[in-house]
Amino acid sequence: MIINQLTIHEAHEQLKARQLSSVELTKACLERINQTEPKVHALVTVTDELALKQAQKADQLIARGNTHPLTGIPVIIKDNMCTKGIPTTCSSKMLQNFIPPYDATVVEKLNNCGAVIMGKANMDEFAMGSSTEHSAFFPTHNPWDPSRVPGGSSGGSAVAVAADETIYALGSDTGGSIRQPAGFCSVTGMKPTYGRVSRYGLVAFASSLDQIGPLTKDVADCAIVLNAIAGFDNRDSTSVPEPTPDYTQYLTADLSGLVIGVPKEYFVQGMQKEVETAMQAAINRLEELGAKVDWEVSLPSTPYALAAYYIIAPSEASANLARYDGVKYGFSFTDTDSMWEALEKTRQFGFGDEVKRRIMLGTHALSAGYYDAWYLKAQKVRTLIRREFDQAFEKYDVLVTPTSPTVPFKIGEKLDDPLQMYLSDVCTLPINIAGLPAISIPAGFGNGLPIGMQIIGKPFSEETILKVAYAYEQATEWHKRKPQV
Amino acid sequence: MTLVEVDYLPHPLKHPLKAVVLGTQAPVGGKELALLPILRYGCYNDHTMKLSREEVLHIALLARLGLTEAELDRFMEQLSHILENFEVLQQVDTTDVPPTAQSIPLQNVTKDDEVAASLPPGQILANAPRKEKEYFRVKAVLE
Amino acid sequence: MNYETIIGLEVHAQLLTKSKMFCRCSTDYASAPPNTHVCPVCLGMPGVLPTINQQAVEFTVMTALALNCTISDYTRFDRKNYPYPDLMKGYQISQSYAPFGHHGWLTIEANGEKKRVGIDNVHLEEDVAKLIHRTSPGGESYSLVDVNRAGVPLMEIVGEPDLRSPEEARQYLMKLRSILQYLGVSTANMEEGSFRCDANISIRPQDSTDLLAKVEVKNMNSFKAVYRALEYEAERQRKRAAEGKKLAQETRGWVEERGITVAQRSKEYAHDYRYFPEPDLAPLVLNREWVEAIRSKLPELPEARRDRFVAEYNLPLYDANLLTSSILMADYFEACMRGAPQKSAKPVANWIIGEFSRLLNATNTGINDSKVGPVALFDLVQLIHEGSISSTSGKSVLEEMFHTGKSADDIIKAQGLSQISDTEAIEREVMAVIRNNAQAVADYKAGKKQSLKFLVGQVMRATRGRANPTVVNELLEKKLEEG
Repeated sequence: MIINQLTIHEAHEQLKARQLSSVELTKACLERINQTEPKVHALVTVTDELALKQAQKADQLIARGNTHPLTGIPVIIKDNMCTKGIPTTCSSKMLQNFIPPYDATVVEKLNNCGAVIMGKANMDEFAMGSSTEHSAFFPTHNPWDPSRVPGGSSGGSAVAVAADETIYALGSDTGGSIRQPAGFCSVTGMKPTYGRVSRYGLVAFASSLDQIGPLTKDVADCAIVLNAIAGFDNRDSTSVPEPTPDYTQYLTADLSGLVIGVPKEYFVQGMQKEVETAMQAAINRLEELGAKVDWEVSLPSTPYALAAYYIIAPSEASANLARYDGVKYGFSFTDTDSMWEALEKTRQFGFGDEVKRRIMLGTHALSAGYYDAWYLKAQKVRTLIRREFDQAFEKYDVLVTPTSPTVPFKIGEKLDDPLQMYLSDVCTLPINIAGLPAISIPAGFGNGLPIGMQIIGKPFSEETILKVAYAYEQATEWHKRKPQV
Repeated sequence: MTLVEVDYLPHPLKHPLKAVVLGTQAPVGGKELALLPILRYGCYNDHTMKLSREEVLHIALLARLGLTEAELDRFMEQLSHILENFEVLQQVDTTDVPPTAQSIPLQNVTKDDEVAASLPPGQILANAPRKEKEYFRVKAVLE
Repeated sequence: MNYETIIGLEVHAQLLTKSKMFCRCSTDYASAPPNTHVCPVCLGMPGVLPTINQQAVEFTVMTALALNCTISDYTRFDRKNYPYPDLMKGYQISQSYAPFGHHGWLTIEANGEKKRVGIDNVHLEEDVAKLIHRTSPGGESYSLVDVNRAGVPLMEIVGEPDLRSPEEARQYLMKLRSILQYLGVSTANMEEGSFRCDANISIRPQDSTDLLAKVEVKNMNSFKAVYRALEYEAERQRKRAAEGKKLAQETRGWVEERGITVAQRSKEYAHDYRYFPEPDLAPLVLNREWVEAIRSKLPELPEARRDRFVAEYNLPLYDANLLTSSILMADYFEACMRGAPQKSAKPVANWIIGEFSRLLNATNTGINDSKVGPVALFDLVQLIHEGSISSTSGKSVLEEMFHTGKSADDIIKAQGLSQISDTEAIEREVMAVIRNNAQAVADYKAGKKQSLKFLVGQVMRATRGRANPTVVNELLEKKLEEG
């Protein structure tokens, strides 16, 4: 047994049975971090001292009979979630030295469960990107092929899980930032329904699209983590005040009676052949498991989702990132006499290119004379996209698509062509536009590179998605493959 | 399962698209290029959404982003390219379609008017790049 | 050419909530050390989210109702984007597309006539931090930021350009302040900054609909400043127009010390607020039940109270107007009148409007901060009314009360001021005055009735003001007739 390879539920059983201590588990993960970090660069901060302290405390809790499934289990947090007293950089020069005085709600919730926080994961700067190459510090490498990207923006979180540096991780997903790297790294990643998990303490990229979710080694773990982080938070007015079900109760292998739709707009020419083949096989497998599959679903507005997304998200980002002015926190350019020059230089040197591009795109889309043609138009298209999903969910329990039209691409391949990079999210971003829940689970390999399957549900139907994902996972072995690092 | 061919012309278009294909289906320059819907519906309008130099400067001023000349040129080209491809949006018939700003079914989420503790003063200024006594300090605001 | 002055006012009022607009920090920052009422939310830290203070919403809706506005059933907050070091998030959460109230009005008295002034909208936003400008010993100028004020709920009342003179603008502001105070939604104190006013002013040739360039005037920190600034600005625009010079559409700042407005440089401001719906907050649906519940909490407003004062206390309209212009004064009056007969109303009103107000103004004292409580004032008025002291003595007694907080009774006893109503004692003085003022007596008898006043004055003087003037009058007339 390699203990850092354990899942949450496996580790929990051993902790509970006192066959393993949290300190041992944590040390194993920290050792693995030392071993693999030089190759994958998944982490921005490692909080080893804190982790060991938390592990000792967790062992005491367990000794006293605390049986929460996350007690004593190591976790990596994407570096855009505020951690009190621990740097929270968003992988940006702008926040390189920022130490939040407060915990994000999800972090608070994990701490209350007795979690062991081992560090903060690398990401595309301010979560803007699909490859983790836009980190201001260093790119993260895909453990399945270090010359390739791990996806993004939660690339660090996905790699930390895939390389067994941690038992699980938290990511955030604005247009695919959990699912696409989960697909690229062959781990399980879920974006819950917008409003399911509190965003308080998540550094905002696009407020109406952002959502925090788990990255785990299997579907059961995903349900456990979702149980812990979901729920209403009175500090987030967009979190939904509804009780959350116990998601672990829905993990059954039988899909009979379930109707699955396959939207054809997600299977367009240009999609890589190996992805198409893997999806075909995966959906066949779902059918074998008892689901009824309709291969001819149409969501006709899908071709406009990318443009709508890349207008809406940057528009919101242009406001969300206006607070970085070098006055209250973060990077500050002071070598000037003029306040205005200080402000412009602070932002010029503090932000990377992709962040600047999106701020400019959003500023333009909202500006006088362009608002109706860009921002308002995109919001109307958003309505159409949501309506089409709503209509589809009158007939189908879930929709299934590839997570990404390609396998992981080469580092550097799309860096100079922002639009090509944006296209990497084309299968995932419509889900954020509509605020739906979706998961990416391992669904095969093409030339040794991971392929993810995306399962989309109607709002607040995470349990249905988890059920389908679990049934598929139990019938396959993809999630058990480990990369050689 | 069949792959969808280029000829599925999307509803709700006001006008049929000129079928100009921006991307190609074959690898270009050794790169695998994912040909995706957006590319196939790009660039068909006669007018252009290209940004001028002045517009980019104006955007940078609004966003308070300092730009070097090289950045200005690069962003002008990249943003123009992106926006031209996004023109596809203008073809969608959104007559009588209301905008969606949020996907939550919530309204009237408020808090009671109750006071809670503020941050300890030391923490308020802990991240301040420049401070003077108990204040944040900035360059002269008056011009 | 004759020009008409067109003025529209935008008023910002801080709301009297306990906690800030979008977080739970206390709004009570007036005497707090800098940067102590600050949390991650109002500091605009990465990752924070706002939550709507329901009381602030209700105060704003209440104000909109009092200003006869239509209440929007669907409202929401928008982000107003502009960079400035006093704005923590780089955008202000405000309302643009769907303010709480719109199309209202209030009435002012202009040239003795009632005039309706339109209210374009009433909306809610957040206050910004305070900047303090400094110069270092080395000559470097810089600013200090105090975030305590950032996030305090700020209501904006946007008036229509219906005002035609600085006097009307002053009336409008006083009326608005009075309404806000009656509603209890704001202290509406201009000097303390809880009530702020920017003005748009332009002129237009009479019988024309063409407005000349609109000028926005800022930095007016008192009612007097608003009046003076608008007078100056209207005159400045007229002069320029008369000289055939072009008027620029611009923002000008009032410079109190110099009594002028100066153009503010606008080079650094790129004005494009890029409003868009605040994604962090759910929309507000002001359904009928909610609005009616708020309406039912509306207190009696100045005009209603004035009319009631006229009806209930039989006061002249003029007195009722003055008394009800300030809720504190109106409350004070009613506290004086608690349990008192209606006939006391007029003398009580006279003393409040007259001598008491003079003392308050002269010492810049708030009516509630004065040492003379309503019961004490009523006792004084009662003593005068009963004839225990003259009203002349009353003034000095009130002054003494005002400064020492002693009761009227104690002061009268201590100073021996109690009025002489004993007819015999007064008669002795009356006879002496008649003896010593033969000329005046002769004049009176010859028909110069005003001589009586002089003789009364002589008696009062002889008694050091303590004689009851009514008795003196009667006795003098009687003796003169007899003599």
